[in-house]
Amino acid sequence: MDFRASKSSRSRRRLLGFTVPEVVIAGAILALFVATSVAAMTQINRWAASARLRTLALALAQQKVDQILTTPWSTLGTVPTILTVGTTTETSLPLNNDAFNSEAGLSSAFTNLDLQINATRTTVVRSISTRQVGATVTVTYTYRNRAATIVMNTLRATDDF
Amino acid sequence: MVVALAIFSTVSLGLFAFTSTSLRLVARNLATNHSHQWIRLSDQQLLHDLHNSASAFVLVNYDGTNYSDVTPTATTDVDAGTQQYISNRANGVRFRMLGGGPYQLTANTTTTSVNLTFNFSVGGNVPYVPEVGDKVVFPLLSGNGEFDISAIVTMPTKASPTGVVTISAANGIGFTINTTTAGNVTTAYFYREVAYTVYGNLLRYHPNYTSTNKGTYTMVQSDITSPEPFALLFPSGSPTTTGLNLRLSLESYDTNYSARTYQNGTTTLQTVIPMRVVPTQVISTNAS
Repeated sequence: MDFRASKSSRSRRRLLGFTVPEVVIAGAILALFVATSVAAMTQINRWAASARLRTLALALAQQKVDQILTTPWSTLGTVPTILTVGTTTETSLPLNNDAFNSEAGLSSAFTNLDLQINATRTTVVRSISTRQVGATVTVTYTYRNRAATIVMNTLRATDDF
Repeated sequence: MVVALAIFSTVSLGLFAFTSTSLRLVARNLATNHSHQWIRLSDQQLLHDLHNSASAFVLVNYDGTNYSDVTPTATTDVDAGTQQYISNRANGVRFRMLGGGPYQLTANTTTTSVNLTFNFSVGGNVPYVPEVGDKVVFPLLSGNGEFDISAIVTMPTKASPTGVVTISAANGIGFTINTTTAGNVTTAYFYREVAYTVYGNLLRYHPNYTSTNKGTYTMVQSDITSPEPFALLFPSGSPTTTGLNLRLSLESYDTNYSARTYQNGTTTLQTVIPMRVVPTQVISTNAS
């Protein structure tokens, strides 16, 4: 066997290293991996922020439903404003930040770091009978150019039903 | 050699940048999800308990040593959701929740009676055991049928569910109640003072906020970073508050697993939670 020839061939291949196409392909695969990973992680963060906003929007809708359910309403008195049949729209409701938390003595040092997202809350009160109303509370907001909506329905009867 | 070093440096820098970015993104995700989870669970429990309040809310303060009531005064801050004025903030709130009842009065009373006997049995068990500081309320007694319990004469047990409580009433219960005649049934409800406080980044629940028990609490959630999240609402132009609407501004930030640079890991929940027992079943808000 000619061992010299075989050794010489291996040495030549080691000296040559990677070919340009090999480097380009490896680089492309690496770049694709990096780009895909960063995009995926960024998307996961958006989903997390989106889920958080839904919880906060739900609390905003729940708050209006609570108001509708607990405002005193007697058949002997006038109908309270919040239970008057019609549509009420409230705009620019802060969803994820409370500016008041930044007041002296209250600041937690972590407030107002997020991008402020405002919501619009629309309340539609409809008459069911003289002693009962139905209400639909809709909270809408836009996050990353996508509109999101939370809807809650409730019924309310007079206190002296 | 130079080319090799340049390539090595570039690849190393790229890997470092990728790893750093990945870590930041993962940490931000963790921080966001943790704070979201803490706030969501806190909100669920607070909603449940605050809705079930049977009395007006009273703000309290805990300074690390003592618990004290806070007198609410209106500020110029207006709550966006209700358009009402926000009071000074506090790190706690106390209120009454139903402890047990209705339980039947089983011994006759005279107008001056202060010791009241009840059957606390429910299906062979005693789910509620009265304690000093609880309130007993007789819905059918005219006027204010509401008394503080100042002593427990006989503690009810499963084996002997009849208990005797002493009420704090200088002139007694004020009514003669006949419980022995067939068909006569007089019942009462028992209410216990509970509280929520935020201290040391913990949201804490005090299941029995009475004199010596105030310091006993269970942790609801950690990583609560708003030190004074509770306030009451004042209607426009009104110098007084009904104490029926509690404003929450609960904020959470994961202080263990993330750095401040991952800034949007904060969750701030602002809402107003009213009690749903209107008119209130417990009128007095005196501290127990």
